[in-house]
Amino acid sequence: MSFLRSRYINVAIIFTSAFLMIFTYFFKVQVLSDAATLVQKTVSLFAAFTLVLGAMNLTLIAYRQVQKKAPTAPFSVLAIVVMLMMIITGLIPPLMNSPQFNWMYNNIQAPTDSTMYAMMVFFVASACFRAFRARSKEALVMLVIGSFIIFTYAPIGAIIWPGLPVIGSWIEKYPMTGASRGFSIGVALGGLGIGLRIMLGREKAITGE
Amino acid sequence: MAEAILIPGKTVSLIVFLVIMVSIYLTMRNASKGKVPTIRTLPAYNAITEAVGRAVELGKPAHYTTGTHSFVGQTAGGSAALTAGLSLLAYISDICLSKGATLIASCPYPEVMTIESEILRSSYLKAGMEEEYSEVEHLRYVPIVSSCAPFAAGVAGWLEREKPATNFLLGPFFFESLIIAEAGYHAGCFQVAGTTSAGYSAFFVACCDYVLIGEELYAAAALATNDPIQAGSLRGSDVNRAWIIALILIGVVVTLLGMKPALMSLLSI
Repeated sequence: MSFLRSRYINVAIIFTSAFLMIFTYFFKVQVLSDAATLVQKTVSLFAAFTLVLGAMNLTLIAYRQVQKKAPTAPFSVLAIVVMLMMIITGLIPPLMNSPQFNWMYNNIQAPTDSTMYAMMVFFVASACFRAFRARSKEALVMLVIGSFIIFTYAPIGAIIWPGLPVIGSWIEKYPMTGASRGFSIGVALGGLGIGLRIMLGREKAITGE
Repeated sequence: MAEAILIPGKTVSLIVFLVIMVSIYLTMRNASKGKVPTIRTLPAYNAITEAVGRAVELGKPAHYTTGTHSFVGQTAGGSAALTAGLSLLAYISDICLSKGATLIASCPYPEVMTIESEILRSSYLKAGMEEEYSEVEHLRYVPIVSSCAPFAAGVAGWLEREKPATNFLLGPFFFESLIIAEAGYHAGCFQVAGTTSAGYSAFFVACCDYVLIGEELYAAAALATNDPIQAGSLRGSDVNRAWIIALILIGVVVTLLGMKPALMSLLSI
């Protein structure tokens, strides 16, 4: 079966899939569009299978924690219990939409997600405190520009001086947009280079080599 | 025989796409024939060895994550950054094994986890230490569900508890970049980060010791693989950048001459 593990097979599959996606982006050919949709669905199906591997990894790590009697063992057990509860309630008909599943999603998962997102404000404050120290010329420029942007959005900015939000908006509209577009063009060109290397089989990381 | 019809409004983008791809291909071919362009040194890339050395000195593990992006159903830009992150994982894993440091990777998507597992396994195989590789010991699956929050919480908690010597964050990131980088900072990690998103690069600049900004991530991946083809494709990107800048300048002149509507109708072909 070493033939199936050959990198030429991998490259052929990658090239054909990528060519289908690119071609159907620019051209309308029903047969190829159908084939591209099939490829996308197949990829999603394979990805779903790998979930089993992920669940196994999670369970084994939790098992090791319990075996070692680590201080975090109770949390590991809780993680596995919650994972199993989500799987079981998700399998109750109608699949992924049973009242039990929705209750767990709305009352456990969604609030914890929102909590993490809300905690961002403290992380931002802590990071800003360190970043906004004028240790070099570049940091001083960042400090000055950052201050203008803060005073653009903070209501007190316009009270201190009505010109502050005007300058802040100008910075956002012109220098920031220009820099951001330049950044995006550079990243997109680099991305195309990687895409071509993947298609030609010259990118080893993608096949785990 | 099915007829191929060019979708209206995509003629110009097709021409631009073909010009870019052909020029990148030509520079890659030139590089493979020996005309390898030189890549300037990147401080963040040079800091990788220092970061691994720190892990060896302190006798603590190094942590690596490629961020919260998958190859399935997400943007092409993120996939490119993820590919660069995976190349750097292979490079950093090799350095860790040669210096005697332990590398532990966290991954939010199982399909990416399988690729990372293969990369780490190959690295151990190259070092002649295949028996020492264990997926459970060296790779942590921290699932991502409807948002990046579970992954961010899982990794930040682990950093806080285990306090690794070094934290590598190289790949595509969203808001979890700040949570993980801040947790790493408070855990006392030496942090090397890089992403292709302008907004999230700012978080890394605020929290990390060394940062690869934007396409520097691709350049670092090219340096890591030491592959002439990769260096050639970077040269191709630079060539394309030159004519894109020329096009932008032409656009500015045409707009100043009051011919913007004519230009827009030409571009919408």
